Parts: sequence; C-alpha cells; structure tokens
Amino acid sequence: MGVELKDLSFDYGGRQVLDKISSRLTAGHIHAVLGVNGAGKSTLIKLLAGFLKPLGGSVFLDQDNLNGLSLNQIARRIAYVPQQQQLSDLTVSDYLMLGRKPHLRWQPGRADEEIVFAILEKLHLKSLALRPLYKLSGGELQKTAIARALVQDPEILLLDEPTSSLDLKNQLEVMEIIVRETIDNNLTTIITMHDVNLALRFAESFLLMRERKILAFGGLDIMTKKNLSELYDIKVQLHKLGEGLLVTPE
Amino acid sequence: MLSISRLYNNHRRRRLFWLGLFGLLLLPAAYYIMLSGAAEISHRQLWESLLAAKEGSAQLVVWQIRLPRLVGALLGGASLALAGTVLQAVLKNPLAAPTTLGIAQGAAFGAALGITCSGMRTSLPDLQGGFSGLDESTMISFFAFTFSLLTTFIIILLTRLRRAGKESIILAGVALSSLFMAGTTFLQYFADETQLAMIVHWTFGDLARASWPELYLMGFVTILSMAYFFANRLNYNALLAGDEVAQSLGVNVVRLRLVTMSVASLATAVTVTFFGILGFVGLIAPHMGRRLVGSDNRYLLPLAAVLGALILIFADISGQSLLDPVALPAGVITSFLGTPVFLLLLFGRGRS
Repeated sequence: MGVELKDLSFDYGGRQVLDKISSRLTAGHIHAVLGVNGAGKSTLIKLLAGFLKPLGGSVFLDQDNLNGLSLNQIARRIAYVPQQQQLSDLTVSDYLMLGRKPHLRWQPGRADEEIVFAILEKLHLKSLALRPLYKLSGGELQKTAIARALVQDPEILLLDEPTSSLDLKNQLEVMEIIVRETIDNNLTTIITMHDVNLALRFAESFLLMRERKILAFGGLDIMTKKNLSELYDIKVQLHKLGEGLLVTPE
Repeated sequence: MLSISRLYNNHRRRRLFWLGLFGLLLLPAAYYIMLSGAAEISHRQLWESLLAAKEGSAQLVVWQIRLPRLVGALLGGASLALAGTVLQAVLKNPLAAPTTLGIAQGAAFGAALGITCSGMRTSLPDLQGGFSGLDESTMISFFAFTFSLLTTFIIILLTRLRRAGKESIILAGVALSSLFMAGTTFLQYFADETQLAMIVHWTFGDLARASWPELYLMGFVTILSMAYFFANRLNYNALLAGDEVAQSLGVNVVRLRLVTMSVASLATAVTVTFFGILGFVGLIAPHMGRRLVGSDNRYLLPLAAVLGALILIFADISGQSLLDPVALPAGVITSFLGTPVFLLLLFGRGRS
C-alpha cells in the first residue's frame, strides 16, 4: 500500500506550479512535505485529495489511478484535514459522524456510533462529545478534525499544516496522535509543514519541494545542511541534539 | 459519569422531543384553522362534513374553502421553510431565503406582466394567438411561474460565471429583486385601475387563493422536493465542515449546490405562483428550528418544515380573527411577524 506520484504536473492558468513530480510514499510512515510558501505544497495536497485534476502525470493508490475513482471511492480511502476548520454548531460527536458518510448507504447506525465513540475515547475527546464546535479551543478543534478523518477509516491521511495555529503543548499532542494512528492503522500520512524542527522530530520521510520540483526525497539522510539551505534560501546550521537534529538559521 | 452513548442518546432524544412536540402541535392548529373563517361552523358540523359527507353548505365550506386552506398552509409552509433551510445550507448564508434571492419578486413581476397582458388581450384581439385557450388566472400563474424560474436561472448563471462565490449570490438576488420591483412599478404606472388593484392584491400572499387542482400540483412538487432535500441531509451536514472537507467526504459540492438551488426555486416558484408573496416564512422557520435542534439537518429539515406550516396556519388564523370581519391575508401577518421574530433571533443570542 501507499501512494505513487508519476510525472505529476499542474499549472494555474499557465503559471506552472508543479513540474513532473515523481515519488513513492509508503504506508505506515509520516511523510513531511517541506518548502517555502508558493513551492507547490498545497497544490500537491489538493492533487492528492482529488480536488484538482493533474494536467500531466497521475497519482496511483496501489494499482488504482486516482483519476478513475469516483468521489465516494476516493473518500473511502483518502481523508483530508484542512489547515483551518470551518466552525458550526454541530456537536463534536455529530461532526465525527460526518467521517462515516462515505461508508453509509442511508443513515448512520449502531456500528458507526461505536466507531465514533471509540475514537472519541482514544483521543481523549470524550468530555467534549456534546460540545458544539464553535466552543472548542484551537487544540481541541484540531484534534476533533483529525478524529473526524480517522473515523473515515482511510488508507491515506492528508494534513495541511495541522499544527500551524497551535501552542507548543498542543503541537506535540497533535503530532503524537498522528504518529500513533499512522503506526496503528498503517496509514500513509502526508503532512505539509512549515516547522522543520517539528518535522524532524516526528516524520520519518521528507519531501523537499522547491520551485515546482522535488529538491530531495528520502529519510533523515537527505536533511543535510546543503539541502535545507537551498530549500529555504537561507544559510542554516544543523545541530545534533540527543538523538535528533535541530535546524537554526545561521 | 455517564457513558458517551448514554449522553449521545439523551441528546438525540432531546432533539426528537422538539420534533415530536411541534409535530403534535400541528393537530390542534389544523383543527383550529378548519373552524375559523367567515362562515360559522360548529365542531359537530365539521366532523359530519369531513366524515359523513353530508350534503349542505357546511360541507361545501369545509371541503372547498377550509380544507384547501389547511392543505395550502401545510404545503406552502413546508416548502418555503425547506427551501430557506437548504438555501441557507448550500449558500452558507443565514440570510438566504426565497424572498432574499428575488425569486418571489420575480414572480410578482411576472404576475403583474400577466395581468397587464391579459388586459391588452381584449383591446388587441389579433394578438390572441397561442394564449386564446388560457383563461386569465392561468395566464397570470404562468407568467409568475416563468419569471420566478427565470430569476433562479439568472442567479445560477451569475454564480456559475463567478465560480460560485457564495456571498455574491445574495447580492445578485438583492440586485435582481430591485430590478423586478422597478419593473412592477413601471407596469403599475401604466395599468388601469382594475389592473392596478389586481397587481397590488396579487402580492398579498393569501392561502385562500388556491383550489384543489392547484394544490395537487403543489403537493406533487413539494413532496418531490422534500424527498430530494431529505435524501441529501447528510450532504448538507458535510457542507457544514467546509466545501473541501465535504468533497473529501464524497460530496459533489458544485452539483449539490446547483441542483439544490434549482429544486428549492422550483418549489418556491410553485408556492408563490398560487399564493402570492408569503414573506419571511422561509427565513424564520429555519432559524427557529436551528435554535431548538442545531444545524444537524437530520433534525433541522423536518422541524423547519413543521414550523413553516405552523407559522402559516398561525398567520392565517390570526388574519381571520384579528380585524374581524375583515380577513387579512396571511402574507400581511407573516411580514409583520417576520420583523420582530427575525430581529429577536439575530440579536437575542449570545453568540455570533
């Protein structure tokens, strides 16, 4: 299982955003997509989610071309969490129930409720079950959104900047949930991130995007001073810190 | 501590309670509308006419005046309220409703045009042509219906052009309403006294206007549109999480928005064509429902439909009795009712 990108290209009205990107993203791992603003990260996520159709190349889920799947077939396999959640007066449990939608014929039943309750329990959101969305804090909201995606029972989890509006404690909590669920459910998790240090701490695979192309793709070994300096267009220093790495501007 | 499933079920029961309560309220309301009107009818006469089909004036009043009014209130209220609810859902705008999108004003202009044209027909016999088979009221309805659909068509076209900008749709509706109102004024200026009276009278939404054949047509359209809205209730819920999330949940957002708008307009067009303008029902009923059960469309849709019917029944009964012996049309009452209720709903709440 996993996702394969083959010569993926896209442009917005003649302005090219992605230029023949190829890569193979494996299941059971977190893949962090890093790059400066405008490097094509969001476009890549939107192509993977099926919101945009590639102008060239294709996305494969195992053997299946994403282009040939119906919206509902995609929804059963790919869950997407945007950067900003839209607020409403839906309760947390009703919001989570939305995640069952691709699997329903007519109406959510007992089994769907059990799935929702189990995820609420697992993510420690039980006490919020009946709280309306607009009353949640930023961290609670982000966890709820991820919980909704997990209820969807996907193979692939797409997260757009999941931690960008959170404080340090919530950043760590949210990332820990993502790591745990990725391993437990053998998900192919793809996250766009700005915080390179957070990525270094939690991701195992890195996709560095620069000017419409992939600068480098691989494990920790590609996170070199040279690559990162080129990626962010500034000189950076790498520090060894315990078992991990720390990136600072020079 | 209670388990989640217990809490969840309590929550569901609370929402079902409101639905049941207002559903039950329909019964006395329906009974009361059957008793109120110009002719005095006793409880006994009412039951006799309904059940025993006893010939007489009471039976005529019950079957030809009261019952059509009740059915009209149920159908009209439900279809306007549902149209408002789904329009608010797909346009994500609490102000969306049949009247704010200009659909009703389009119908009013069409009716005015129909009234003027049917006046011209007698003076210009050569122009009769294809219209000769139609009587006046059919022609007025036909024009009203055509123009309300035309309004919808223009609005949908504009949104397609602008790539479905949700805020711009309401503004387009406002622009179209004022265009149609200007058109109606223009026609009124040239109309003779009888036509002028007819045009003005048409805009008062009145439940007494429809008779059985029209109600059958309304019932057909209302039930079909209801079925479509209910079948999509979970899709409307998904829209609450945002367009992109909805699409990632398998909802074809663009198509849902387009079809919903068309179906809602069709249902509105039929109602407005036969009853005239019943302002605010489509705006208030969804807001009232939302305060009671929240935005979950599984509960909101049926509750809004029931509330819409109740509002129209209430408006009709109070119209009959408020200035007795003058019977005010229900549209006048809903418009008066609308303003305070709507302001209360908007400002009487602690959250934005």
